[in-house]
Amino acid sequence: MTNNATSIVGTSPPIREALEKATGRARFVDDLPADYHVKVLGSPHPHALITRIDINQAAQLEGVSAILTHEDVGSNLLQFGCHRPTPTMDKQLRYVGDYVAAVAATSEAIAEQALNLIEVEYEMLPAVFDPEEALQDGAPLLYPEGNAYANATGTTLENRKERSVQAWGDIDKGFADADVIVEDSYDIKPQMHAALETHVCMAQWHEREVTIWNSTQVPWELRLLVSDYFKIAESSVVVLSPNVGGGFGGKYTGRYQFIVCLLAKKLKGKRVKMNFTREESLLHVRRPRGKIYTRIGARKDGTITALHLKGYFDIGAYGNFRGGSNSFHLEGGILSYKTDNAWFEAHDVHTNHSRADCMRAVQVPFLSFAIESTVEQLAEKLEMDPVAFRILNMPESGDMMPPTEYTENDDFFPTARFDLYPGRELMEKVLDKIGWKEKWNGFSQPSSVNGPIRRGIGMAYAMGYAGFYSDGSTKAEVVMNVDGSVTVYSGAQEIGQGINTGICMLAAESLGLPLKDVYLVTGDTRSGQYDVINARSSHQLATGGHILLMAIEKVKKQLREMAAPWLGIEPDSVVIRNKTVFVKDQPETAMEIRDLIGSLGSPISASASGPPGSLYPEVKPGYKAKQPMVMAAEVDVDMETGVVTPVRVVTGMFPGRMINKKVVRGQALGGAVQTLGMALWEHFQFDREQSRYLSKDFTDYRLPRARDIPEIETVLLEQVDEESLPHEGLPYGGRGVGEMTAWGAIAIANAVENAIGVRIRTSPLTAEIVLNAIEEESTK
Amino acid sequence: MNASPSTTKRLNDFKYLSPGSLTEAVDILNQSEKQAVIMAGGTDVLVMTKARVITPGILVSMINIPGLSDILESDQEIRIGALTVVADLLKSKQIQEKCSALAEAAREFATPHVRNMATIGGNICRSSPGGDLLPPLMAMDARLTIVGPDGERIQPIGDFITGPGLNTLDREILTGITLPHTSNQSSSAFGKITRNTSDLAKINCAVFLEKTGVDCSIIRIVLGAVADRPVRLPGVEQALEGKALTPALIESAVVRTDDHIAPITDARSTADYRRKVSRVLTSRTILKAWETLN
Amino acid sequence: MISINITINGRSYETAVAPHQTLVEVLRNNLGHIEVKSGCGEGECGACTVLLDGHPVSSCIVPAIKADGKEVITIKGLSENGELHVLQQKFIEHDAVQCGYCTPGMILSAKAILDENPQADEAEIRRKLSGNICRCTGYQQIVNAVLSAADEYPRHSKIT
Repeated sequence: MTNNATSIVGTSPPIREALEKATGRARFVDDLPADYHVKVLGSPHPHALITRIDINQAAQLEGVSAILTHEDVGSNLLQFGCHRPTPTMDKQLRYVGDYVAAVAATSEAIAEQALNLIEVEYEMLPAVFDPEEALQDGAPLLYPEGNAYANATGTTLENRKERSVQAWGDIDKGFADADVIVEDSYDIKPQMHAALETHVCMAQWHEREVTIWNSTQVPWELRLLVSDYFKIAESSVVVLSPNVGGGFGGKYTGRYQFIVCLLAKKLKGKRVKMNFTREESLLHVRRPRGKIYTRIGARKDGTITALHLKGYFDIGAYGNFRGGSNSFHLEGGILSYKTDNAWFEAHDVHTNHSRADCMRAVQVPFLSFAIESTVEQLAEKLEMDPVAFRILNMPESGDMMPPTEYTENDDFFPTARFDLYPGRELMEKVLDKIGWKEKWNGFSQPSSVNGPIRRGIGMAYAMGYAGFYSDGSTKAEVVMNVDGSVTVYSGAQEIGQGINTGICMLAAESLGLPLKDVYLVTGDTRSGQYDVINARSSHQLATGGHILLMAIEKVKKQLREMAAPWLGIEPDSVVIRNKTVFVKDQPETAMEIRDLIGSLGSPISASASGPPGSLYPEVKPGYKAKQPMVMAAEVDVDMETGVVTPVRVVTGMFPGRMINKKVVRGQALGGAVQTLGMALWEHFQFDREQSRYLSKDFTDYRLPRARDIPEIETVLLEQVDEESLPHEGLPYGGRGVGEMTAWGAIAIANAVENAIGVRIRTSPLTAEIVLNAIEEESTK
Repeated sequence: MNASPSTTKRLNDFKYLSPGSLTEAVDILNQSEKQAVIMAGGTDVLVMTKARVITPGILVSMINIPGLSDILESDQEIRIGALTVVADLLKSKQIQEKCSALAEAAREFATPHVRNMATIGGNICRSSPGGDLLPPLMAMDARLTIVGPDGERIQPIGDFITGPGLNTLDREILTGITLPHTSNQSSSAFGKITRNTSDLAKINCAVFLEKTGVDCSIIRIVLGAVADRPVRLPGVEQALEGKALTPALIESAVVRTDDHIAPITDARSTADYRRKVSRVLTSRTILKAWETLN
Repeated sequence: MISINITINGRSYETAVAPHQTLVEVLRNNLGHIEVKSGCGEGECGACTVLLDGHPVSSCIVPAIKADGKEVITIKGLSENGELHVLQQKFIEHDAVQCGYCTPGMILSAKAILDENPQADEAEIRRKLSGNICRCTGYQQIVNAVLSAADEYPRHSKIT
């Protein structure tokens, strides 16, 4: 059965929310009225103990309704689903901005005034900011058990691992077999999510029930954690997330939602809201910082025999809610190359910096930066074409990956075959589009020189994930209405990525319905559906869509069985289309579903979810779904100022099947621009002497603007498994696309190297860094 | 003591006055013991107040004072009202023709939104070492008209700015900027180094020059954001005055840039970078101005 | 408190504002115009863009008093009689809307660009949209939407 003939999947209807967003009718959480407003007093010190805190004066200020300090809530730990029990507020302050006190008042202005009346005395503690330093003996401790905290799946505080390892083969033998080895090290600074809507949360209690409005990517996780924290049933917690003004991984569950709930609990029945300022949002969460060490060996013919990578990730004072950096999440970046021997080791380390959480593409930007920079050097040493080198070592569709069983498998990944993996084709198409053959003049040879301006071309490749995972935590329900339209009850969270539209398109396609006949209930945890992963890891379309189609198949089955006797045929011969049922190949026998269900009076509904606890489902028996990614860039470098100007970017992704073509393209373009930001302009800076973040506002944390961006071209490859039915494995063959062009800062860095002949091992590549590198090179 | 990361988006409570005349405004300044802050466009004042860099006790708005936002050209000069918004500077044909450096600086100034509100007077009185409009005005030898309790005075802009955020205003108000007419063998140019679009300057530069015959008879070069105030580069100027400019000559002259600057490291850049690239920006801006005439 | 007269989307209001209130505060909190967003509070991101006498401003750094006697247009003032403005239509068609938070401000800035110059080219559009940050779209689809709207923009008759 061919999946290629579709009428809705593969088109480009505007996203459902576009109209309300373009007319200003879309409501975000800060648009909702509140009774009380919360302001938080942030720690001025990176590491300190509160030795005295006096809130009396503040509490007496007219308009102040409630105040929280660690003395009230320190013992409450966020535990469920979180590897590290985290105090809501603590006597020990672990980063500049950590929570000292929280005030609820009738206005933000009064709450702020109250903050100034709180008296605090601090005992300063030595602070540590570097993840390697934080692991050394004698380093200041953020936690009594130490600063190391690996994120390996299934790790808890009790069976705590201090590093995550994924390995196969025999790494020592691999190096022994190598003719050429390159070793290098990299320091990738944290990018910040910087969604345009800041973090915001409002809560209201009624007796033992609480309603929470949160700009969140993960409403179901929030519901779970709140119910555990307050020891109330999950159904007593209602999470509403109307519209989310961007997430990118920065809007998971932190401690602030609990602070708001605690204050709201004191002010029973009242709506209590906390809206972050831009500074607070920027200081709240960021990517980790990655210090990566690579060692890669290859034979003369270019075959990689050993790939060793060790990373130290600064996850900040609190890490993310699942522990650490998600260092090898869904195998992203570690299965890029098919080598017999590999060792990937990640150390997640707490430092006295703001908390790090996953950001778009998670670890792939880090791993690919290091690997794709090292691989260039390896190819050069071997005098081998860098494209040929990559193609030689790239896995292909059907390859067992890793080639042998994982020997170290802290994340419990299955060793399985790649399903479709057109890496080579993607690379050829991307490079063709950018004109690689004509423009690449050789290693460190710019494609053109025009006075002080050198133009360079660079590229990178990595394996990304397809988002097909954790089906056990996802559930969908579909109800067929009497008139043959359907209502989908979805646990997915729309954050601007178009998932709501995607879900409706899948349902419409599967049922042969016009898009307008698919109704959606979402954004409200009372709907009974759930998705604990939600808007993370490109999961909602690939996995959520798969679950949805399974539910729809059950609905179709019920409908066919209901229609069969009326049409006088076997259920298998019933066709469902356009709110009618008819005998296959005999459309004149069509009967309106309205008449069918109406006369029988029985509604049809079905739900579906993956097997409980299922984390890494196979996309078909023995196979796992991933996707190759390729990015190529041309840059101009001004040799006298170090300024790097992107000239052209081509970003390549393998969506498998684009459910909504324009939406996929939009993700590719937006991701590519975030990549440029990470590579060139977005600079996380902390002044140790003054204990303050310089990157605390948009004046100094430079986000890309329209004039900075050259034309970006996309290559979006489609290929589906012809034998698979739409609801088996990936929905119509569609892979997750939200992240897989937000990874390739190294493509820019490789282009810079090509222009100036110097390899830069950090990001962002500021003009200062580039100019220094140029000068150091010229003095050699 | 409570030092907290600045988390406010709000202004402080201040007394607000909007006098209808300059005299009234000057009176207020003179009676208020330095608590009063003048608000023109409001862009700088608001950002600084929100960050609590300043906490004005009295905010004196210029909004009702007429006649301060015109650009008037006469035989001798162009007179720009202090309340002229930056957007109007860049649109003005006279400014584009007679002082292209100022028009270019206005074009590169902040965001379009800020350009619609920020005023030339505000930028001058902010006296930021990196203010984009300052180098062009200094290179053009702009003269400032200042009104105070003792009447009106004129001061060259080079003498007006005395340090970072500091100037000679003493309970006075800047009302106008005068640019002397220049020969039609003169030109000006502006350059700026930033991180990305719509950014404050890491370094900015303006050059005014006049040609007599084949030689550069007058040259004035100003660099901003590399000292405690925008600075002229007399050493470089002297090396170029009276000569026909060539890239090689300019290259050798700009070495003297070092003598006049004292760059610092901040969020935007490093002292070292600013020192190195100052020469580059200076030489490029000089060349740009020179090539306009040739 | 100071009384100001302000016209918003064609409707006149007289309202009392405190001198320390910014325009975005008054619009959102006093007058219920929550379609005007707030992204940074310091005039950098453009989420709070409104048109003030036709010119885009960052309402978070405009003192409310300065709006006295002026005309404010928010995104809600763009559709007339329920008909979408051509820019709104094009933004929707060209997938220039993802999370939607920058959208009101972005469309207003685009309107100001085209009102002044319906023949604006891509470079001019990018330059003049550089006061509006979008974190989602990467700008390309936004620029395409504006160029597409420009094609259909009412041509002002000009005597040259």
